[in-house]
Amino acid sequence: MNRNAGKKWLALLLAMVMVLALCVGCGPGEETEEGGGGGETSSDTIKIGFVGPLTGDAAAWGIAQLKAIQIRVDKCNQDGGLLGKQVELFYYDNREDAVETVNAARKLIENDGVVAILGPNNSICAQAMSSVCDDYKVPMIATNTPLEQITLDDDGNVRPYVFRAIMIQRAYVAPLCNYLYNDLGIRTAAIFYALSVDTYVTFAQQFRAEWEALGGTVVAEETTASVDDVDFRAQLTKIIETDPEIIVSPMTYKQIILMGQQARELGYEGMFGGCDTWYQVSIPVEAGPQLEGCIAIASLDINSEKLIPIQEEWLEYWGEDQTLRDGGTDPYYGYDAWKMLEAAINDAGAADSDSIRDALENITDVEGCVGLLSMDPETHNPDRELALVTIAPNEDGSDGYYYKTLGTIYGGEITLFDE
Amino acid sequence: MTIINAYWTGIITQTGIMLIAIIGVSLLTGFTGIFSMGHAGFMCVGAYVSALLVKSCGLPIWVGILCGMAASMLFGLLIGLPTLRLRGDYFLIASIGIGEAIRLIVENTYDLTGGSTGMMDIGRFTSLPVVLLLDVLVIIFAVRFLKSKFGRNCVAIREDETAAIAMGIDVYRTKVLVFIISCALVALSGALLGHYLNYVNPKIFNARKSSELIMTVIMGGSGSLTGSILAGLVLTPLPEFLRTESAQEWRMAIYGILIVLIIMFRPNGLMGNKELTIAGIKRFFQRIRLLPASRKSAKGKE
Amino acid sequence: MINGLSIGSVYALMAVGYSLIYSLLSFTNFAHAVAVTAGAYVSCYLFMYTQPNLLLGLVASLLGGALVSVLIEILVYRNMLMKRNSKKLYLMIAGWGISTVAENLIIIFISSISQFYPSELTSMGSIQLLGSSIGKVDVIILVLSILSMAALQSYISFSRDGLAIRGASHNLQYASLMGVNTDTLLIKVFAIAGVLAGIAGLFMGIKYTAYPTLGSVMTNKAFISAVLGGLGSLPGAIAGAFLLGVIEVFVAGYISSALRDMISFGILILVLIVRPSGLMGKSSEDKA
Repeated sequence: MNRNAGKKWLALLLAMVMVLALCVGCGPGEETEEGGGGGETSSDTIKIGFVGPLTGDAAAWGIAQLKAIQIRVDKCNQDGGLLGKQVELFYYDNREDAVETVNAARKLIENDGVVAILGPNNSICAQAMSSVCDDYKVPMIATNTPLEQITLDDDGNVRPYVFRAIMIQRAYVAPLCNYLYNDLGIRTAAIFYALSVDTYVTFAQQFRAEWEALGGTVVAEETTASVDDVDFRAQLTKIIETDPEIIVSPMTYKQIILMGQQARELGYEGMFGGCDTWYQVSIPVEAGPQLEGCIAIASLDINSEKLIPIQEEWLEYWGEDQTLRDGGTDPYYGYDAWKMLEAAINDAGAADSDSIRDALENITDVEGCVGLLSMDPETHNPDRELALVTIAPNEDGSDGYYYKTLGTIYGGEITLFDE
Repeated sequence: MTIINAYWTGIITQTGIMLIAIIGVSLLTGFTGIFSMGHAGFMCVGAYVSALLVKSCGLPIWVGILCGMAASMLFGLLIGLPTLRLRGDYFLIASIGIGEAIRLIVENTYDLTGGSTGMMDIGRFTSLPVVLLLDVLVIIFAVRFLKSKFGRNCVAIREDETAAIAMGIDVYRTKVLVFIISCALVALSGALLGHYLNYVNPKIFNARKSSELIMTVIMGGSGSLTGSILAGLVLTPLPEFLRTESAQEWRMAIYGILIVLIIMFRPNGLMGNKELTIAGIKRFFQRIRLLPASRKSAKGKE
Repeated sequence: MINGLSIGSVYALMAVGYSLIYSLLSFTNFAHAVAVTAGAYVSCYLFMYTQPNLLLGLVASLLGGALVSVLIEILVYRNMLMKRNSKKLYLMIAGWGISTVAENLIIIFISSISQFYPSELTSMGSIQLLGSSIGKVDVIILVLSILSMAALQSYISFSRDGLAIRGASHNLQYASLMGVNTDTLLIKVFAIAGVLAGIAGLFMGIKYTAYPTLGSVMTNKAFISAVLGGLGSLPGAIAGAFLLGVIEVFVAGYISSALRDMISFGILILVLIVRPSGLMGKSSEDKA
């Protein structure tokens, strides 16, 4: 009898909630007209949103990026704002989780009424968020996300409200292969990557495609299951047996360091190569000797002199704050994303989501941190300058290693610095 | 007309989705005493099978979801048959491996599933009324299950397995059955989640998700359906309200401490074996003297 | 092959500590991972203030590990072990809970970022052995794990404490009735396990950096090793660990590196079903 009563009680409760829910509406589709992204700007501010990892493993990058954007917003407001209105920045933590990102995006759009969102800096989160942005018709500029599927759907159509601030992966891989094959004369490569991250998998695929198209051979391809794996000796032994001239590996910076150490311990004497995940300050610090001479592509030349005024501005604004330094390249991408948005709003002359979106598609020659940015309307990917780097011993006489820039890449063309 | 905006309906919808999975785990863990640390893997199966069928074969979504549940039950059968023979603590270890193995399989099949890139545009289906309807159905199902002979057998197994055997219960068969049912429920939840986000990715169904499921059930009360539901209603949306520095780590640390305390002192969880009933509420109020004690309630609905 | 042994030796250090608790108290101590991680962090932080001396690190981590292990025992396990009908399962869940708490506390108070050891320790170079290169650190680990097992085995077999431990392993309540001081006994057992865990932590930290989930990642492997070699048998744990290491290398080399972990778990399940006592262990049935 007890359970019957209990069942009835629960059913009653839920029936009441259901009635309530029916009043609420059927789902995201119907909300669009009411949603904040639909074209309302409150009378005196322009509301912008930011989503990024502010806690958790990736917090260092997320916080750095947020701070970079906050400076720009403040400076912009000091100069009179955009279109005469002050800019309000709303931000939420997504803990690098897809579901959280969706919630954060909805909160920004529904509760805070933002007209555009900057972020996230992770491809999986960006994929999750793109559905929300397309539904609500609010443009988003994803920052550190090289995965192609973010802006393009399976049929090759571009997602109208999704943009990115860095280049897609193919834009890195091709010049890397080019340089290795043509400039350094390498013919045999091995690929070693972690399976659990989307960008690593796609990098491996694209590398193989480009490399073989040039005429090189991939003598070994090995994987490790997750970014938590730390012992690669089994795979490395196999790779070393095939005697590659270079091991290319997109992995987390910690795995790269460990891989370098383990490979050398096993007697590997060849080169290493990698993508933008290699561009972390701790790598030359911890594994400089092992990885010396490696070749990697970076989305940004951290050594560039053009970054100095930006860095000085950060120093002045935030003081001796380590987070911006530890944030790697993410704060610069935040900077660029803001710049793109700012240009779009100014171009559009209006601050509603649709106008911003249209303008964003067509921005040209926006002054980014290292060069000019132009958006490609077909793909929503910008053209920007990349860098070719290697690890070399410090040139100022101190012990240790650092990332030395060998040259820059634009539009697929490599320009090496002359010594 | 909107009373609550889409952000809040989103939260409620997600809670409703997770509730189904929590009930599934509750039947398995709370009532039968089988602890599984890899159950999110079966959510993953449900979500992916549904996603694949809808996206590649163009099947209507509800068919996809049903197939997802069926696939998960099949998987559950295949995996459960050998492993449920193991002793409880061994099974626990095995279940960790199961969860990881499923995730690994997905990541290793890039051409089919998109591997770690996940799959996008798999179709929307889940909305608040749908979820609430399913919640009600699932709860009714769970209650009937527990009332039935099978349900009581499960509880018997949890209390003392050897005694259950002595009483003539086919322990193995019951375990397999409840395992499959819980797989079906979590698969439903997983598929709903996928069609809510319009996106699936193996990371959504990782060990952390499994841990959250089991922690919720333990905290709510191992023998109580109401306990699991209440815990689910409170704990699932909790991260949304805790958006401060290190809040998530503190949340997990506190959960951990609670789990340890509960296991040490009150393994039946906070609600113990009790369910929420009208008679029970009446008795509560009588005990704290808000309602007059009446002789009728003693003969009442018992 | 050599690689398999050196991977195995890391597992072995952990498996012995694990197996000790299991063979004596018949439960799987998930919180062993916490002692390992503690050992790693203690020595890592020590090295921030002192010269990177391996011996110093060793002492620090074994103390750290022992301390943490005993603490956990006193706070949590003692209570549960002494109860008459505490299920093994509950002990495991408690251990898991502790492990979760520890991981998150480390993230809160320290950071989730991996801490690197000084390069003097991480880049010790390698030696040539039987045609393959093997890291010096690995050699040390190998030697240490065998030594510690030998020391432990002789302690248990020949000392008076050892006798008590063996007696107590059958039934804790009876042992206390017989006059054995179970409290001290438990402390000693957990302290020894903690020492082993701490040492394991130090070396794993050197090889793989110190990070919050250091212990738990390896703990599963340790458990598999112990099961493989036979729960309840210390030499078995070591043998199982080496076997697992070799199998993993074999699988990664000839089958697929990504499926390595899955196959390890698969082996675990297989062994548990087919021969729960493993290679060398003693079997124990639930007393009806």
